[in-house]
Amino acid sequence: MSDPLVNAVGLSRRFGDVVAVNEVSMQIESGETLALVGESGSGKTTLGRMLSLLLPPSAGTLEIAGNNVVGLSRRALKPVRRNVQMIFQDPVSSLNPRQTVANILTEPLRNYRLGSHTEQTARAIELLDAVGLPEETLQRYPHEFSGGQRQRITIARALALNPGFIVADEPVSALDVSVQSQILNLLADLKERYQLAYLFISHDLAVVHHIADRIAVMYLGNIVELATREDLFRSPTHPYTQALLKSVPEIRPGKRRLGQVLQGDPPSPANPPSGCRFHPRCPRATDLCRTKAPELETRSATSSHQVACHHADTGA
Amino acid sequence: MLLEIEDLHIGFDSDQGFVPVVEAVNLAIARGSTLALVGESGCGKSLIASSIMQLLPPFGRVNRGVISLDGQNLASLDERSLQKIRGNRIAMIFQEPMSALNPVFTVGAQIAESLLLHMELDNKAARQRSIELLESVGIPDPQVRAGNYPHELSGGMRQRVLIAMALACEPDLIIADEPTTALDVTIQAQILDLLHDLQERHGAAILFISHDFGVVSQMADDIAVMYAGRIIEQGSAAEILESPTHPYTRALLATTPRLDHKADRLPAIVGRVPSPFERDAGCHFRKRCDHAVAQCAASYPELIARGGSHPCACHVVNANV
Amino acid sequence: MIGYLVIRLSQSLLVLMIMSFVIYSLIGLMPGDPIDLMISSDPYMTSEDAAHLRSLYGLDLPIYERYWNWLMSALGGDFGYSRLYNQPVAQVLVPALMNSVQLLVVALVLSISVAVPAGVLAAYRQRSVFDYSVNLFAFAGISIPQFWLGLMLIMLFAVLLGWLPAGGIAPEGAPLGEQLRYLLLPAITLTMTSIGSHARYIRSAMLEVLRQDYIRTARAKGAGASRVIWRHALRNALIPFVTVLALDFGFLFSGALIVETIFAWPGMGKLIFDAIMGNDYNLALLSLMLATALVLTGNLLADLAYAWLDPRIKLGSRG
Repeated sequence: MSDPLVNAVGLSRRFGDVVAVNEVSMQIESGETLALVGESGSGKTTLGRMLSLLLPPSAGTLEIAGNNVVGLSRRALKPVRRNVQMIFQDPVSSLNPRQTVANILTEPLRNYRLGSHTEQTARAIELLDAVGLPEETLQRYPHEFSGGQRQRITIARALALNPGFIVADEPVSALDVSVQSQILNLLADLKERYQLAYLFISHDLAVVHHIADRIAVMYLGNIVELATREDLFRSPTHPYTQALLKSVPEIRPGKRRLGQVLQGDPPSPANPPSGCRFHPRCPRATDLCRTKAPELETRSATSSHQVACHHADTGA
Repeated sequence: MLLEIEDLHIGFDSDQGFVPVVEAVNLAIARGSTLALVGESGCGKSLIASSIMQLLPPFGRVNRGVISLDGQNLASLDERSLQKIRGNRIAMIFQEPMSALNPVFTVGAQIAESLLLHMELDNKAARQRSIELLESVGIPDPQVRAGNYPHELSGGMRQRVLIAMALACEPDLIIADEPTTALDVTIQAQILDLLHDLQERHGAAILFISHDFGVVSQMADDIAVMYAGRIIEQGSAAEILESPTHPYTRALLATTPRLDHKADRLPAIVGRVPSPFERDAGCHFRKRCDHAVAQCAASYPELIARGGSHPCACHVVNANV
Repeated sequence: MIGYLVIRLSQSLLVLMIMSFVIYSLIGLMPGDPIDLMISSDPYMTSEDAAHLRSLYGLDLPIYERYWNWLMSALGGDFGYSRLYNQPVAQVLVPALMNSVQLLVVALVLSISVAVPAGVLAAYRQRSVFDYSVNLFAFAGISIPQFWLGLMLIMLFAVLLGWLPAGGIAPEGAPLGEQLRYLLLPAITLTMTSIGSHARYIRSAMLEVLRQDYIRTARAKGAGASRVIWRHALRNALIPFVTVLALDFGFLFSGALIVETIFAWPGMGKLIFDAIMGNDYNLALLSLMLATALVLTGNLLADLAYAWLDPRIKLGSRG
């Protein structure tokens, strides 16, 4: 097995006293989509920023394509950044309203001094074509486009430098449902065509159900479950994952209550509970859970399904 | 019927004359039932909600149509009478709990305000009642919480406060405009269950506005689907979710990611919603529709029920029945 | 809270100290000194006399030594003698300060009580005739030079109509009505500039607030327009307005100079001017420091008011 494209070990990030990401380890292979799922306060955005080289980790190691990227100077990081790009949630604010689309798409090329002006423009047209937008788009400004079209422009920009790894932070959450699928399908096509790896950050399990190869569930800075798509949806093991799945309403008629899914509010990362951070809301919590934080471990020697729970074998 | 909306047209004035946003909408909600209004952004559902309360934003106006509460035309009432109804017989819950509460007043005071405006209560009694209301929406330590300011509460708790505020005067109708869209999914589950329980206890009717079919499935007795300012299909929840007829509804259901369907690629709807300026005399959905025929460009299809099916606004569907 | 106040007061004292040195040096940098003035008024003074006088007054010492001497006696409560008035500086300053504060407070109260309702109503009736009038009036107020306005008011009310005195202050112990007669014209002149900008500021703050979701919530609860505007909206619009007022505190003080001169109002502004022109070190220094102290006080009061009005703000919280 070749080395993973992205290899993170023990990544942590603190902001003052607040530990947003707590010793997270994960690997992403080239050509796979790893989905990162969690609610507010889970740390998924912070983890995404670290993996896209926008935020330095407080601790831990991170390797992209075999090269260490922690503690590097800005200059040393520059060549690595070509390989790692990001797509953001809000299509309105992630495009500079004062730049034409042509400008937006050629800016990465100009930053790295790639090609002449003509070649850069040609590349921009190529990128627009890859995301399904016509050549006329070049002269226009972002505000002239709809949310879905703007997101396509963002994706085109992310592709400009031929990256191998793209971090997509809630890329479809701000879009209408009828447009979401367009973008999800586009992302899937591009992945095949350009052999991309994605870190797909989302709070929406239903979306993730359709596009992810593997899924990591985060709660309050830790990964609590990590499994392939089949495994996670067929046999979710961690009580939080089970609660998340139960919270997603099915589309079937019949006015109903969901019943007790998860009590209480998500605790704030500034004041995490002792031991297992999930224990105050967990139906299976015991004294052990209150004192000792569980490790992320595989359930059996053969499977790749990992859970961080003392009582992982019990429960549905 | 508790609330009846007849032939509602809402729009705004521009250089090109009156631009309609909501057109020819007919809705009825029975006492104690939940009607879900489903549609994507720009379809006009929030405008309908605002217009029921006669609280349209300054640029919008109702061009035609009647909104009646228990048979009384709301547009014919003067401002004072409307103020007596708002928050009292009709209450509203908005989408963004972050910004819907006044930051400089405590949450207890804001709930008490509803009571002071409409019920004959003094300050002390109103305060006591607001604590009881906080408890009834599941907020722990309600005496303490009543003295908190909005920024001291989490998003889920703020939404509970808004619900408590809406229920304070035991309204006949609650208009919930995307009440859980800004919340985490586990909190959403709690809030939806809460709304459910409160409806059972108080018997209020709910107009539930959302873009999310999953959420709507849980809450609705009846569903009306909107597209580009018009209702294109309506019926009971079972009819719409199990046997949708309009191409838009069917496409929307097919394109919605779901846990019970497995697919690597979802069928996408090409194109995008036309803006109010781009509408013409024909069906607004035809450019994105696989089944469009010549008639679709000529005239807008009527919303009618044919052959025992539920009402649908589509030339092709109604011709085939 | 106490901790916060202690920190702020210590900071203010430090600023005052630094300012005292800066002001002292600046005045010292001005060409000429009192001895030169004496020379020009007394042709019989010789250069020996001049040198002798200079060493008597300590004017031949380097500036930091002179500053140090001043500082030491100031800390002991002795702020020196005013050369112009031949009295201890404090004796000259205190009555002038009282007069200025009187004028400033009246002007500020006048400004707020007119500007706030005007701004609120202009925002409520946006784009109405009232709104445009308020705007016009505001620009007029900002544009009209204070000296011209003062003179015009004097011409109209004192000369032509004879209703109000042309200048000066009511004698000591005069009844309130009499005091107001002297206060009215200078206060109005002083206020003119700020009324306009205050009204516009309140108007834009209100417009911003009225667009907020919580205003919609208030209306949806059935609150009437009056309640929505005066209770829900204004409370929020006042928060940024308080900052503006704090800044104005300092401006009003300097603007008072012109008004005080025109109306011969015996306040701090005129005093500072005379002191600097007359090279009266001690008086100039202390009065400028008082001006600094007033601005610092204004800022502190603004921060306290800010925290009082906005529950989201905690004083002294780390950034």
